[in-house]
Amino acid sequence: MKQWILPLLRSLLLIAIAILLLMPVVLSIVSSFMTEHEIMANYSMLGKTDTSIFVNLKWIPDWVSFQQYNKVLIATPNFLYLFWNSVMLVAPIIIGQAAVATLASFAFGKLNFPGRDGLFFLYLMTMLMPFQVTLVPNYLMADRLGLLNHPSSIILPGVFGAFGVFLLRQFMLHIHSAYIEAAKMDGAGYWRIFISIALPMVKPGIAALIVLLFVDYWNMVEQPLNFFAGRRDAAAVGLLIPHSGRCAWRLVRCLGCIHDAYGAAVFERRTVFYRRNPAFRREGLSEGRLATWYCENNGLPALHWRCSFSYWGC
Amino acid sequence: MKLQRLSRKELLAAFVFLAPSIAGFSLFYLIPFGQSILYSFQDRIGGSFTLSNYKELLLSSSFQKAASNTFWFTAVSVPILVTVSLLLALLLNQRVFFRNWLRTAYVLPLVVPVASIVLVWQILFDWNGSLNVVMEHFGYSRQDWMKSEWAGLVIVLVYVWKNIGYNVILFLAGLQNIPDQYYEIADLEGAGPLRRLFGITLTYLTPTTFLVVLMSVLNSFKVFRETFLVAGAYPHDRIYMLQHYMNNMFLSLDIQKVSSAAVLMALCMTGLMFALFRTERIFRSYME
Repeated sequence: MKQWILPLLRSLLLIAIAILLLMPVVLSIVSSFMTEHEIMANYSMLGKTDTSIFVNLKWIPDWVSFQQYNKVLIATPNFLYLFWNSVMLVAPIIIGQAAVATLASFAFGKLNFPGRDGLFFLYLMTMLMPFQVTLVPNYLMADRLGLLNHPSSIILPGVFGAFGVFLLRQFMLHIHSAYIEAAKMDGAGYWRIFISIALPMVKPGIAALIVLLFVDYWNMVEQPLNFFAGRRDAAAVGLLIPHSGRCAWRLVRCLGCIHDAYGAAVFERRTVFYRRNPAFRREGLSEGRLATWYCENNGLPALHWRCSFSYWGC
Repeated sequence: MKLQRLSRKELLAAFVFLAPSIAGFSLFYLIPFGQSILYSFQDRIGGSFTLSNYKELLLSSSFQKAASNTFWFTAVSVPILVTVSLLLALLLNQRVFFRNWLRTAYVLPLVVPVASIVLVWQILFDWNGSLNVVMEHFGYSRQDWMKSEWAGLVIVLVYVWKNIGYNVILFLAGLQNIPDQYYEIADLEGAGPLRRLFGITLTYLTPTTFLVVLMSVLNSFKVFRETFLVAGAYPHDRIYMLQHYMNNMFLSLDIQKVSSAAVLMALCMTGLMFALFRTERIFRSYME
């Protein structure tokens, strides 16, 4: 009796928390099956301050409709094509970073060499910087290496990202030095120690890394946008999703749900910015003009800021 | 003599293991960041040395606002997140039903696209949103959550919601790495549950905690995405973060200001990490 009552209480508590956490996700999935009409009826008053009508939080659609999925998957096959592009970008990054990081983290976590902590510190620093910080120098670097408009301009920085090194080093630290000392006594070389001891012991870490990298890179938007400017076919799915004009909502939701199964999508934030920024609207700058202005003022090679994504019709 | 030969061998091994990572890392991260530092001291790209960028930056009221908001957001939300997720992980690591299902449920918010979830936040926190329906029902006046002092709280909530699964995975992985023998020995020696928690679990969890804290700080900067999508480039003063500032400066092509803001941010991060590193090393010496 007493043996299962405590686990049961624990489980109930944890389940309650899980339900709370899942509510937004469920809401998102449920609305992807609603018809246009129903979504407008329930949620169209959002963002208006003058109305006194509230939204109607709806958990069960009146009509279950596949209309939106049909639109995204069958009527406009472009989505699947872009989806494949995303996979082709994200897969090499994950595999590459996991491999490079496992090697490096072994050195950081289990070997002694001068300057180890200082070097690791540098890795951490760059990992914590927001993307905007290195955007321009990164662009210049990609240009110098001749990587612009090529997938490797996204993949290579991804492969050498500091996050994997950082995460796996933590797992390497968990390995007790006694194992390594013992292996050394038995005459094992460092490569052998890495393969037979470190690698099996950090397997859970590598698995976690893969999941986390997937989530992170599936969400990347800025990089493809800036390095692939002008190559419509190469844009990741994230770029395709339009800004949140009220009419595009259903589609965003629907795309979101398909994505949920695999990862995530973000819609382009710069476009949103351009549309919302009063200064931009006032001066009527086009992105092209902005780019030209920028190049003229800084003597940079022509930056093509032009967004390479298409809008879904409303 | 033999010792020296061994350590030289170790040095060589370290170099071989690190070589691919260091090469790519310097090319794509270190050198670009160095260039950013350079830009922060120039009046324009390739211009002469100046400190005026920093002066302007520190005097600008929007930078001050952004910096203090970011600081407070991180200082408040990170401890909350770490504590809550540690508690959840400890609960999950005990005997519970549906453990795998629960774990998946906690992680799900992380993989949901920001875009589709932002709409849910709007449904909840809008002027006409669900939360206000509840408020009116109980006779309180409604709030414009995202455009008032409450906005800070909403963002903390969104941040905790999103990242809790991330941290729970990390904590669970760390917990599973603690050998069962330690607990068995503790049982034999008659250690109470509290002693076990502090003496074994938390002590051996130190590297993981270090990781989780850093990840939480890192992710506290990423909450910008949600904030931005809900509230735009110029949100309520309460949630105007450093990234809003940097993004706005970048888009108005003020690269010098972005760079100097970045350098200042890097300095603060250095201080923070220095403290974390120190703490970790102290705890690690306990472990060995």
